Amino acid sequence: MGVVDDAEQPGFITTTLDKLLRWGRSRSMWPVNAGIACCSLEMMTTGAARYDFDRFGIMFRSSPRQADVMIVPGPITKKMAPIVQRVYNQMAEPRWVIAMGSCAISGGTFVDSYNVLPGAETILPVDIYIPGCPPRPEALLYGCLQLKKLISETSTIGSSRKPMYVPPVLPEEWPLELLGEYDALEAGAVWVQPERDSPPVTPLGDAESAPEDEL
Amino acid sequence: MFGSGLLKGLGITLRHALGRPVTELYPFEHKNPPANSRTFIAMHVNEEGAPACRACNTCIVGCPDRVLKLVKDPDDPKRAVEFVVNSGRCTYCGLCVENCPFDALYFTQDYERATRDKGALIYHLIEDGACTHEGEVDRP
Amino acid sequence: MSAAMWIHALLWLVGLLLLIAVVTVMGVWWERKFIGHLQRRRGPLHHGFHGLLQLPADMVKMISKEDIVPDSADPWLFQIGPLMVVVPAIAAMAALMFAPGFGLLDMNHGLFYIFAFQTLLPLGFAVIGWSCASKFTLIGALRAAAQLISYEIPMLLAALGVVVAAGSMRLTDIINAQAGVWYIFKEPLGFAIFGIAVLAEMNRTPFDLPEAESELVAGYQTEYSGMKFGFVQLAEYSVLFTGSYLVSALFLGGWNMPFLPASPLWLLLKIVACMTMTMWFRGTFPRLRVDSLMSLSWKWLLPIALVNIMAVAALALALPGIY
Ligand code: SF4
Ligand code: SF4
Repeated sequence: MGVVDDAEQPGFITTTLDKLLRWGRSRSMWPVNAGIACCSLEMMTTGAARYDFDRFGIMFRSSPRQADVMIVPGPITKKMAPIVQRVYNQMAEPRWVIAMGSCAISGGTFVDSYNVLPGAETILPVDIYIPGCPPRPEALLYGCLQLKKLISETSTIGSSRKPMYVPPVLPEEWPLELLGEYDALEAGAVWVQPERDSPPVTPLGDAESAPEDEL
Repeated sequence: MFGSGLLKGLGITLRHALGRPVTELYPFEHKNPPANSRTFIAMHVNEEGAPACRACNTCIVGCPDRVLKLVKDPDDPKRAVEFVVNSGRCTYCGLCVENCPFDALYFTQDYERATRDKGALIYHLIEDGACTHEGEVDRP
Repeated sequence: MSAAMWIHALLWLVGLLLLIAVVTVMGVWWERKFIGHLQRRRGPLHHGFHGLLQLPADMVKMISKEDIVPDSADPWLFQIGPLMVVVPAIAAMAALMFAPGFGLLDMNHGLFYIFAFQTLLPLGFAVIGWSCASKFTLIGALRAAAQLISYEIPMLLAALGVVVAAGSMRLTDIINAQAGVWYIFKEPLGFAIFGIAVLAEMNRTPFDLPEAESELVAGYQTEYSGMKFGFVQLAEYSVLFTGSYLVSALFLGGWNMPFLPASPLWLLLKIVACMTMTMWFRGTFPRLRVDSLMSLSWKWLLPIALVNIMAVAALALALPGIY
């Protein structure tokens, strides 16, 4: 949902509106109240008295229609995948996804399992990755502040739909709902069963692509 | 008695409201996590600044999640040229740190690692035979 | 109607709409802040002075959100639903008097007018819940209709006690009749019944069954996104304001204050105190069960309200000077 879809040359009013929207959206992120696994306990802790999400206007809404952010707190099993995907589809644009914890980032310790997806980005367009197992509440708050920064840096001019990912070959084990224009058929990551008997020294998937300036 | 419980509850919440909130204002006041909390893996260096790792592979064998990657120097099998950590898959179980016979690895308390780029979660501890960060010299 | 009357009405319309906006913004802010402190949290803190810019940000976001109409929903009813809640809630505020002669319309049946429009609310909730064709909204709407209708009767009967004592349905008369003793001291039973029933009319905890978050996702407003949801919230806070006004006007003396000159300030203070009271309840009490909600209304409040009104009538006949 942009200010105007496909604006060629944004005028003064458009850019002012854009600034206002970015200000409003980044300061009012309501996550949908959906816990998947153990990371959701840490998510609740962050909402409770000691860390208090509400200081930043982050307020859990039970209904995905009224939520803006989906925090994926845990491994997505094949059985859970259609439900996670349906909750994401029920959210109104603009929407964002936070992958919280190692399981939501890459499958974590369950990645060799027969029924866990290798990360939330297999089906959802993830914006922020918060590593940890589970991340400390401060780490989650830091991740939310990173998302706030991302939202206030993202231009709202032009179309910014973020559809769900659908793999080019639909998996048989977990039935995804196809919703027509709300799917991104080409963007989906293909789900591959990882090798199970790996040698001790495993070449990491994309270790070469890691930025050099970390640490 | 009917109703006294309600009044008691109201009293408790009122006491909370008048007392001091327990909230820590996180980004503005940093409280360091407890010393035994496990966050990111880092590498010790010895006195000359070289990484303490002797490339023995013990940590990699012990890791349940295939997080670590080690490339040995072909000339010197006791020297690691590259040591990569995929922190997006690590469970922070601590097996690698405990297993290391040379106490080369340790956990930092740096939790502010959220990122927009998944690739940034894969970081090098050793690159071209040198430590990529200011490792601690003192061993715990 | 003369031009002056039109201008008067227009000014009041704008003023009331502004009042509703301010009440909603400040009410939500104060609610989040106060409930936060009740739970030893801080509430909104970092956006604006102590989180005062939080609500404007929420509104900007809500206006710019996608407006989803579910496939299975009845499109016409779905669009008109929020209006059917907002319009009666705002229309009921037209009869509020803030000082002698200071109000949009000093109707001689003002109380009746307010209750008449509040009675329309369950219809709006039912339309909202029915149009979405979702189980959660339907259960929420049915609960709202059942609750609002059954609590209306004790509320009206308790208010009738005040009307009997004051001898008028004009809000100004009722408040002026309390220049000496407030009705809360003359009719404590009526006050208790009215308070409980108004709490249920406003869908506030412990009577927030229609939107019970732990059972019904968000109750009747589950399917509404963006500003339609905002409208339902707006209606809720207008009803909260009207209910708090009614409690302060009927039982707490309105603009009267003992030993001090009458002033609209006292009225506003009492309204804020009543609203804070509901928020305090919300931060403390658990929710009632559906069946105990119904039995509380029909088995307890209704008979006691009937006894109360007869007692008040008898006292008014027996002691005409005092009652
Ligand atoms: S902490 Fe555990 S999961 Fe992480 S690298 Fe070490 S052994 Fe592997
Ligand atoms: S870090 Fe320790 S255990 Fe791992 S290869 Fe180096 S010396 Fe061996």
